[in-house]
Amino acid sequence: MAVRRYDPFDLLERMSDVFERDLSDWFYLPETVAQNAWGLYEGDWSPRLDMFEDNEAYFVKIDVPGIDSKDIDLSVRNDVLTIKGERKPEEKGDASRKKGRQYSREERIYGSFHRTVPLPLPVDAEHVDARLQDGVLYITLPKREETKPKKITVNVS
Amino acid sequence: MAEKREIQKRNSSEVSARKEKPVSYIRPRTSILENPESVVIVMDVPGVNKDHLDINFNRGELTVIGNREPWNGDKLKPCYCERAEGSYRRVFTLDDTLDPRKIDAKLNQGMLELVIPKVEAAKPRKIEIKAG
Repeated sequence: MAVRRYDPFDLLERMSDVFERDLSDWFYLPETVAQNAWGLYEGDWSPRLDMFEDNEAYFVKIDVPGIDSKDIDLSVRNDVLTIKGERKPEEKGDASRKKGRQYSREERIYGSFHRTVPLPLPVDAEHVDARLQDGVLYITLPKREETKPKKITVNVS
Repeated sequence: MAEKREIQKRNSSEVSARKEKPVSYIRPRTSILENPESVVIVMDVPGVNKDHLDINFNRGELTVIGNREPWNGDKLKPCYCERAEGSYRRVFTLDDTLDPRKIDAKLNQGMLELVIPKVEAAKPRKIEIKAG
């Protein structure tokens, strides 16, 4: 099936995706990780993610539209979160959708992705919780007891 | 003159209104497919559920707006931020060959699928040749 792309800005957008993610790595990741930043991404594309934290856990949100939970492989080891998977074109997934259709525009990206996300501190890998809702993967990574901030009272003698 | 001043006043109030509340929209990645019966628009709108989707047809334009949850609703400390903030919005201009009254919308796993049927007159027809 012939796919015709005619959005002149699409390439720029993709370049900006790549540029932004690599640039942000160089600037915001710990030095040791930044040195290996080029090796952190493999695959055809890379899903965008946000990460937040509070005293108890890290919360990650990843945009993975149209991907089944069975096509996502998530693993946590110490302080590294790895997510890989594949977005399959719909034609392969469902024959009825394919029937007689021709693409006149295609901006969406398909293929495999593999992302390694360094976490600021090691987490409790046993109690990681992940759920997929409306095309967003929500991951909760509880912090380890020993890495949680503790308040120390100073006694005046 | 008074009219002009009125217009200027209105313009400046519009400008200040814009300054107060900057609106940024995300342009969702979209595929458009066509078959003899219909045109199908598929958009990636991760994070949008059915209640936060607004699809309107007005004066030949189909507007799709999808609101996501606030970027950091819980006011947690951010570590990485790559996902764009704001709502999804995209406008499509439909021509006379499509029937906007029968648009069918489906939302599944962050993908919105709009099926817009063609009007009868625009569908391909086989013309029979009568033997003379």
